[in-house]
Amino acid sequence: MATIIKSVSFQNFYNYYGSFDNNTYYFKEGINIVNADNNMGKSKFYNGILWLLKDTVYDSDLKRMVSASSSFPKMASGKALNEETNFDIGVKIVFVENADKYSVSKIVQFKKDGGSWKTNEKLDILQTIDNRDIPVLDVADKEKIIKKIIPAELMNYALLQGESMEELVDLSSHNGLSSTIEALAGIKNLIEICDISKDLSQKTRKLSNDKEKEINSTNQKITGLIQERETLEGRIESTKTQIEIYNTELSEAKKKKETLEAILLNAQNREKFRGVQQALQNEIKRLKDEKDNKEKSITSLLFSESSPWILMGLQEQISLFDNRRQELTAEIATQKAINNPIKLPEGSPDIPSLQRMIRTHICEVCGRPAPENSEPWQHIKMIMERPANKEKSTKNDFGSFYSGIQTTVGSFSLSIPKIASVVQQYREKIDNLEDLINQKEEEKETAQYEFLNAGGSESNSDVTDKQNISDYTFAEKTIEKKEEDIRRAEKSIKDWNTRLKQIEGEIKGISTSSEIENYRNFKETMVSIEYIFHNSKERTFNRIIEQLNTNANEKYIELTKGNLSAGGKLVFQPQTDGTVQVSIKNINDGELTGLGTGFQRMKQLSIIMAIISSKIGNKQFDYPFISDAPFSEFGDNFINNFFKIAPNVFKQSIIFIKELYDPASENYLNDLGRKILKKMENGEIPGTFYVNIIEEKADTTNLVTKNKCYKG
Amino acid sequence: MTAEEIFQEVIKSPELQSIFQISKEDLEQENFNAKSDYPVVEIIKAVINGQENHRGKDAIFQTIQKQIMQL
Repeated sequence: MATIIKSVSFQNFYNYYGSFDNNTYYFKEGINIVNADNNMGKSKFYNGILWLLKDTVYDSDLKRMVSASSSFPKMASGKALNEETNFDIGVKIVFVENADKYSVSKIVQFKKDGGSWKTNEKLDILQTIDNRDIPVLDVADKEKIIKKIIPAELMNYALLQGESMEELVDLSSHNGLSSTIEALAGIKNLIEICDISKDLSQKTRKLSNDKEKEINSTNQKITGLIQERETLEGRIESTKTQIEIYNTELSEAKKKKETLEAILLNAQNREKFRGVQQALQNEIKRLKDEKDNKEKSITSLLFSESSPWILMGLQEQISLFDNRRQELTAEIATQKAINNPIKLPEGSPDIPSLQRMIRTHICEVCGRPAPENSEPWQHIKMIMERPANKEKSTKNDFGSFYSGIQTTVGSFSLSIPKIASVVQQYREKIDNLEDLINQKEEEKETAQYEFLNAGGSESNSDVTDKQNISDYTFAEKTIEKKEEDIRRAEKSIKDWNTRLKQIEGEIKGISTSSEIENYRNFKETMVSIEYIFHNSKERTFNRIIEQLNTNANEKYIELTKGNLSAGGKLVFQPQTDGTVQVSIKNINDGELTGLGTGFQRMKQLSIIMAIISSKIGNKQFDYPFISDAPFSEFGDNFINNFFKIAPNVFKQSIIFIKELYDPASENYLNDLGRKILKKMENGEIPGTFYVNIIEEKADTTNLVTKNKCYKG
Repeated sequence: MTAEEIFQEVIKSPELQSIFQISKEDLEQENFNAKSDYPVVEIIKAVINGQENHRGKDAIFQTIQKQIMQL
């Protein structure tokens, strides 16, 4: 038996202006489609259901859920607010549950009071009994009746909003899926039974111990053994608790590792190529520095001692200089001969004698007077002045200077011809450096490309990648350590149990009576029953997981059927702490990443459908499945597949979509919409088909939505 | 899971054969609503019923203790 919504009506609720009678949608088992373009009331419809069931609405301005009471003015029809001073807004759901029929209305009375509105909310519920509507007055009864539409624990699966679908089944939550399994597969009571049986076995253990102590209170040997047994039992219990903690830590570390695994390869690649880029950057800088230094050293090479570049091409000039020098030497030799005709004989007067002669006006050579300015005086004067001048000029003929230059230049005569090749080699070195720099720049670009390919970006800092890599390593080490801790703890428990058996044997050997035997048997029976219940729970849980795994994959394949790209397979993995992790693997069992939003949502839908169809004893969902824009990221193929399989899983679904809408078409349906309508008319798809329309163009405050029923 | 479904699951436990020496055939005959010849099966039912009827652990314990000690 199931809950079926028979109708949903609105009164002055957002776009739905007018009375309940003017805004009613009649639904039935199967798929109920409300097809509407943007702003034509899909999300408002969904909000009506949220308000009635959860007292919340989605505020599209704030982009979050808000309490309905804080949003009353927004929930009221703009047209009603503009034109009326006293009106009601409301949502009414009529549903049947088993043979019972209920009508639930939430209404807010709006009354204008001066410039503001006064509001008053009320909840009316009628139960139809023998064709008579009986009001339900008790508040607790009212709450119970609302929960009959969709129970609180199932709302997460029965009320879907497209945008939040990714978060619906919280795969990353430690307890998310296991609590889902417990809720839907109903093994909560079995878990509770396990707890009870554990408590019972502890009680019998204590009772038996106490009884043995009481009966053997005078026997020190036995009391000592009982004492030891109690100590060991205490240790075993605390170690078991410790193992549970280790298991939780182990699961968390595994989960962390699994999460990081998906990003680790990219993080490692990013880290690798970040390193390559940095090394290349350093290399490029070093090469550029080397090139710069080479270019700067050209100035010093111009005047290098061994190979002065400034002399490049001057080889001819050396010969020319040599010739010129030889010519000059010859010329100087000739000049000496010509310009040195007066050569005084041995014993001629020296300069002081000549000066005296000039002064005394007497020639001391011949003894005759030589009056001033006379010819002899002039001759003496000429003799005195000439020799010094002429000799000096003759001696400074630059012969040695040019010889010096010749000697110096001569040493370069061998190196100058090589300068050109040295310069060439130098040029080649700089060119090589230039080429190397270009090559390294290209390598750096490639590394950068690889870096970007691995998801690298400015925002993707090396700190995050390093942290992820370090976290991954830490998770691996934690797993190793916790597994070792668990092994050690289990070994201790095993040893203690062996000793317990010995103690048990020793006690039995010493002390026995039918009364003690009874208590011992009681204890052993309860310990065994605890074990049996625990194993039954494990078996059931594992079977559900297997079933979920199979069903989810079955649904996933059905939903993605016909798609060109493969969406991988869903893998349900029970964890050591009793929780379950779900991941999508490729055909090689590797983590499948990069799936589009459509696939991700299909994955979520598959899990929901699998959870629902894995419910023990019931293969169909007993409550309406209501979803706003579930297909916003789906292609036609996905949508078709969904319509095909949904009726097998959900007894009733109500779907608000725009993917079948075409405002240009006469009946507002696109090709896919027409096909689906046809299938509904043919009976291939059970259910109803509504299209929302806006008869008069208006801004959002005055918008009035009407509906057309194509298939009732 | 209903109490009966849980019982059916528990009855499949191999420990009932290995520890309590109950034959497979006998276990297959066990019924949640009919009295069993095996005390352990009755205790299992008592625990399941106790949980289903929201009885306290002490009350369940006393019921079982009474059952056992009367044997």
